[in-house]
Amino acid sequence: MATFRLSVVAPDQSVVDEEVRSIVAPGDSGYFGIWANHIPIVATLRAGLLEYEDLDRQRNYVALGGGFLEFSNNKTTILADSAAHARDVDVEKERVALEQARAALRGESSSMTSAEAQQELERAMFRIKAAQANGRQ
Amino acid sequence: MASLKQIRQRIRSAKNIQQITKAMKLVAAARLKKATDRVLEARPYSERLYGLMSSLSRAGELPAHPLMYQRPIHKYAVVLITADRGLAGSYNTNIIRKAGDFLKQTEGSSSLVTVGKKGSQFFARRGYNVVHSHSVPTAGARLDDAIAITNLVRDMFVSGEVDAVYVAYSKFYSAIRQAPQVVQVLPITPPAEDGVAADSVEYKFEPDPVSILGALLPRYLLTIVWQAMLEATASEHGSRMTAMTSATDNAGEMIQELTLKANRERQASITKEILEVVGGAEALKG
Repeated sequence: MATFRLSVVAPDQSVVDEEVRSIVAPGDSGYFGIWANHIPIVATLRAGLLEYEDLDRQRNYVALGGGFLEFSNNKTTILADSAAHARDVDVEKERVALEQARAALRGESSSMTSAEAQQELERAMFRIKAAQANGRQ
Repeated sequence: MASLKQIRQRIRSAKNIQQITKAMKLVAAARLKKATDRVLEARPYSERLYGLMSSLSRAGELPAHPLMYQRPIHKYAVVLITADRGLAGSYNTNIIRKAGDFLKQTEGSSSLVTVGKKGSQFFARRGYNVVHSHSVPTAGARLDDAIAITNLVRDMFVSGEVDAVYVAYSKFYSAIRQAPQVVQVLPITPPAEDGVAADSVEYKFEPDPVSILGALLPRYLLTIVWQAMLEATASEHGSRMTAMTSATDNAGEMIQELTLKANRERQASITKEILEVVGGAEALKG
């Protein structure tokens, strides 16, 4: 079966760089899938979960904080604002971050602005989701 | 002529200094390793982003965007990236001199955004308009620092407070070579057509080129600033390591010289004492 290259890079690190069978990415207007030999595309991504199936048919999850996807010549590049592979997520730490963001949104803490808190909330939420999706297998 | 006691004291202090410079050298070497790793880790993102910009501009005329808006430059801002601390050889001096020359040569009123204490101290004391100074943790700049600076200059540019933004930083080549430079970051100029239209791909855009560009440009700006900060950090540690290595070597040389001098002095005083004894004995005989 045809496979293609997936690389996920964030400004401060490269998260994934491997051969995959398919991916499902959080597009601006909903999740969409990409298989090998897709037509060349550039798409913007929302914060969400990136799912990909590797050569061993394992499903992997990456929490993305928005960004871009480019596909051409069977190469996908995802430029993410932030990215964390499910296996690297520290769920406890993210739960704490989630609680802090919630408290900030309720106005109980002034450590961040509400926009920052909103962002932090989303980030932590998707990381936890990624970890849970990974754990279900 | 310094007395034996004085020379010994100088040897002691040279040894103390050598110990300090040696420690600083080791710390700088460790930090340099980390900093170069970070430069390398950040490189794929900026390269890919740049590639994406190129393919977008190949796909047709880039639509107008506030961050690309060219206008006559009356007021401009310079983001100056220096270190918080000295003792890094000529690192701070070089970048400050480069920025100073640039400020003198460029017409229009300038404002400065400084990262790192050294640059802000220098220019604030000389009456330049430092609108913001940002300080980064000693462990090195974090992405959040770059985001803060980027948002600041973007707001200044979009609101019309300045017509252009430059970044002055030190580009990192190796531990012994860093080159201070000033680059323009705003308005953003699209990547030059490289003439290889043959391999250009027809992309499908989701949602459409204009919104993609709108989302892309701010990140492009951030990447340039972030890259500059990382390079500057690597340059700082590289420069410090080189400076401290030669300081340690120099201290070693000095210790050697002083030891020689001390030994000679000791020998001379012994000889003198013997001469005195012999002379005294001779005098008694006579």
